[in-house]
Amino acid sequence: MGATYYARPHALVRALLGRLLSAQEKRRLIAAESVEEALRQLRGTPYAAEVEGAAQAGDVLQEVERALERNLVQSYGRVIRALSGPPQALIVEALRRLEVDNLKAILRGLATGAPAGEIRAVLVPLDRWTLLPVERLLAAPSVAEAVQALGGLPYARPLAAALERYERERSLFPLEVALDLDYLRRLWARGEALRGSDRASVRRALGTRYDVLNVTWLLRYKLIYRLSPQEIFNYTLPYGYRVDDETIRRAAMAGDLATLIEGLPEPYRGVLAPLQDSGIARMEVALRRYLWRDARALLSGYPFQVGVILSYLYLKEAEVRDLVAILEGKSLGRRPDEIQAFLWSEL
Amino acid sequence: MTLTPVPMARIFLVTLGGDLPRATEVLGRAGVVQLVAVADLGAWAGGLAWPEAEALAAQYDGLRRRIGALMRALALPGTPATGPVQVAPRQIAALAEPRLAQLEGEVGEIAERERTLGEEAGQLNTAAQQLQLLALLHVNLERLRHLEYLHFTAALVPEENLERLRGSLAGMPHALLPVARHGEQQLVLAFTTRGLAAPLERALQSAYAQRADLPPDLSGTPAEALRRVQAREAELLQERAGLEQARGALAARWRAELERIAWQVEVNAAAVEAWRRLGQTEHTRLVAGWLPADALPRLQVVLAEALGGRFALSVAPAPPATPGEAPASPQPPTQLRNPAPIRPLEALVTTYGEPNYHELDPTLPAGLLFVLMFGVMFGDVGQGAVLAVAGWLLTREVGLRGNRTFGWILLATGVSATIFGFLYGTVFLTEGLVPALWFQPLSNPTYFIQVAVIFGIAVISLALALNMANALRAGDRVRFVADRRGLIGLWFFWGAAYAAYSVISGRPLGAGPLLLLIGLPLILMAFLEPVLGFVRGAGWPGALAIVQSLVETFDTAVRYVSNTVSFIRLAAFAIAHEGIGIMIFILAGLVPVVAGAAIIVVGNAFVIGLEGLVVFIQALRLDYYEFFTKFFRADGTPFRPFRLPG
Repeated sequence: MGATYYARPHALVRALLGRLLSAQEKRRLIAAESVEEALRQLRGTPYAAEVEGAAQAGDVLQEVERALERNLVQSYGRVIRALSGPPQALIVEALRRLEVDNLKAILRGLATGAPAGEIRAVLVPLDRWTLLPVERLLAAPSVAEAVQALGGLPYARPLAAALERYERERSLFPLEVALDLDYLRRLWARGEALRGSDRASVRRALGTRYDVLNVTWLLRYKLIYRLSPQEIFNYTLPYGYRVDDETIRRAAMAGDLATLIEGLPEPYRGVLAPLQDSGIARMEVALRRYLWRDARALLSGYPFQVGVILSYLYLKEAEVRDLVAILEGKSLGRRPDEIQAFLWSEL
Repeated sequence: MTLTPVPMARIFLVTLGGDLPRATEVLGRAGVVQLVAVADLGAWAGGLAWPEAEALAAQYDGLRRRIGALMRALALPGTPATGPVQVAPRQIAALAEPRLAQLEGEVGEIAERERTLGEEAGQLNTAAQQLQLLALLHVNLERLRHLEYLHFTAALVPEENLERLRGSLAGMPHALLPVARHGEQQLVLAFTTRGLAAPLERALQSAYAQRADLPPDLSGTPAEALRRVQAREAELLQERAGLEQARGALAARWRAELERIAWQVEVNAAAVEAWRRLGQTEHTRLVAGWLPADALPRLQVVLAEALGGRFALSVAPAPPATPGEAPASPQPPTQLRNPAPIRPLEALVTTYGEPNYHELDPTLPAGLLFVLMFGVMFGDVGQGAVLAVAGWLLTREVGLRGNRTFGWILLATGVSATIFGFLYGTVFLTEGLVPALWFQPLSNPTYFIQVAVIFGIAVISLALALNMANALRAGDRVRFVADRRGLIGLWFFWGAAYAAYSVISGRPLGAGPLLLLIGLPLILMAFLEPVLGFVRGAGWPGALAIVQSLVETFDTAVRYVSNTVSFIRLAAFAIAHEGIGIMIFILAGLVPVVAGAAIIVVGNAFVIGLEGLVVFIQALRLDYYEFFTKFFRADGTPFRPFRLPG
């Protein structure tokens, strides 16, 4: 796809980038004395409509969070409408990640016997962008029936293949991993369907994200789930930008965390090495922040390619996640430094 | 007037429960009402929920799924429209249920037998493939099952996981033999030492492999077992052919009726989907919705004809916007009403976002500005004409289909570029072929930059005026005055522009006028909003809020300046256009005539393609960033009326 194709989407994305909050605005939100004060501040930002719309709801905070998520989905929608052909298909697939998250939330809810209302409340409002038969899934008496209700959707096959293990182990782990791996394979395939600089930019933008996912999973599989090297390898992705199969194999065989980190390529080794004793949560935040920096760096490259759009959408998602984290932190009375420690973006 | 969307009226239609199907048919055929869910009407409508409609919708959901499954089972194509259908969801469902159940029974028998045979065939096929491979070994199956030093397993691995599985086993001694494909799975035989059986099994398990061991009743040598398996496979094949015939006969017998039921269900499912949004009392049903005000008289007539006066229709104009508060009820949808020549430019606006009902539709100013700015930056008679012709061809769908809207935009920008080409005296980058009716950009860049800045001031002023107009439409006088993009903002903006002009013209203003023109509006920007909030009883804003307001005021002031300066690009691109032309002609002059002519042709094509694109982006950027961000909220929803299929 050439510059002609990206003229309109490029102008749109540049305009939308201008609507992202500045670090200064986020710092002020974090420093707000209360959640009410933070909401008042948000009224002076492009999120005013979201805050105003939720003002009369019973649970204002929850409603604002849903509205922020809807805002994220709308941003995807805007970009999708400005595109066509394979790049559009890629962004639609990228949006499906929120659908995968919703599906996982539903399966978790069904497995734990949570009421449909409670499950519905945590779903990202995807409105017309979802293929999931949400009400039918919520009405399903079991996880197996829910998987059956997905007939015809791409999620049905990996879940059906993993269902036997779920039934045997009574753990959602195989289902969620199968869902993630299958979705991420499809997303990568969408990127590979592009040509020229578009494909290169996707390999760079998505590849870096897949790197971070693989490294994050390595840490979790190794330190929390204590899986065998063979399992770790099977539960990671064969795609990435700097992390390849050999890296994963080496890390999977590593005897301890220090060796694992030592075997990673830069910049991940440099990001994680100082945090070895800080716990996985801190390391994951550091990796997410690296992604955030990387997404910003991609914006300054050649503008007429889909990687720039992916970067904008990542920054937008990071902003929405950060706002939710700030509001939650404020409502729980957390200190600004505690809130800041878990943000996706660097301030 | 095209700056406002189509006026909407809010309707509440109350019908008797028995008349609802007919009313639904009238509304669905009229296609002018966007329904509003009764749950969204507010607390007053809380007791009107209609659970039966939800149950009916679930029933129809089930009916549609069952019909879809039957269609697939009988290999019939989709649901054809088979003519007008009455809206009568309960009756249609009652009629459809037993017929579908009967057909499901008949299809089910065949399907169940097919499933059993399919399963058995699959197992036999898997076994046969394993046996074919093992036949080479001439070993007894019993011995293979009880290997002393090796661990052996057969498994079906999802194809996409096979490579990963191979990679995961790279560090251990093993053999992994793909035998055959089974749909989207691969049958593999895996061997390793007995000591490594557990890691192998875990690897297979994590690759989502399913065990496919040979059935325990197979004995003897692999060749003998294979012969038995193949004989049974032949029997199954015959049995399946018989079932296929039976299914074909069933499809032929049921096709007409199933398609008729499917269409009836399709139409009534749409009606029921609409019913989910309605409210109810014991004997009546409440329909709430929006419709274009001018469609109301016709709707009243068709309702009266259909229901014979047994309905109550309450109509109210769309409520005005409520300043700074959450809307008390669902907001009206937006249906833009631009005249045909302007309509293609709506795409420029809706790409950014849908106008909400209460704000002015920016299509006309933004569209005209876009076209104008494109012409200013790309003024060239010849190249503009090329774009215009290309646009016209697109509108006629010559060569490319589905780009008519873009064609109209291209045509407009081409015409604009042509007009500015005459003003600049440029034809295909050549000067002097036609006289410049205004001036040549490179002859006086300073003048051009001044014009661009003045144009920028006018555009930003227009944006502020639109923001103030939106505030007035919303009855929000505070926003009209105190907003940084309201009256105070305009005061500061014009004051700063005049102060800059006085400095440039060598007559700088004194402290008093500066304070009046710039200082005072800045002070008001910083403090008026918090103070008004305090006066209105919102309490003392707090030091942090004051600091925030000060920072935002500084930010606003800087933005006004940078936004204005941004319009210099209008002059810059026009000058660059001329500069590129000169460069191309110098290059052409350095080579023989034929090569020179080629350079001029290629150069023009290059400029039309690349510079045209860049200018398109810049014009769009000025619209989106400098213009829209001052007044356009773009948080509306488009008007989508309820329509029955067919």
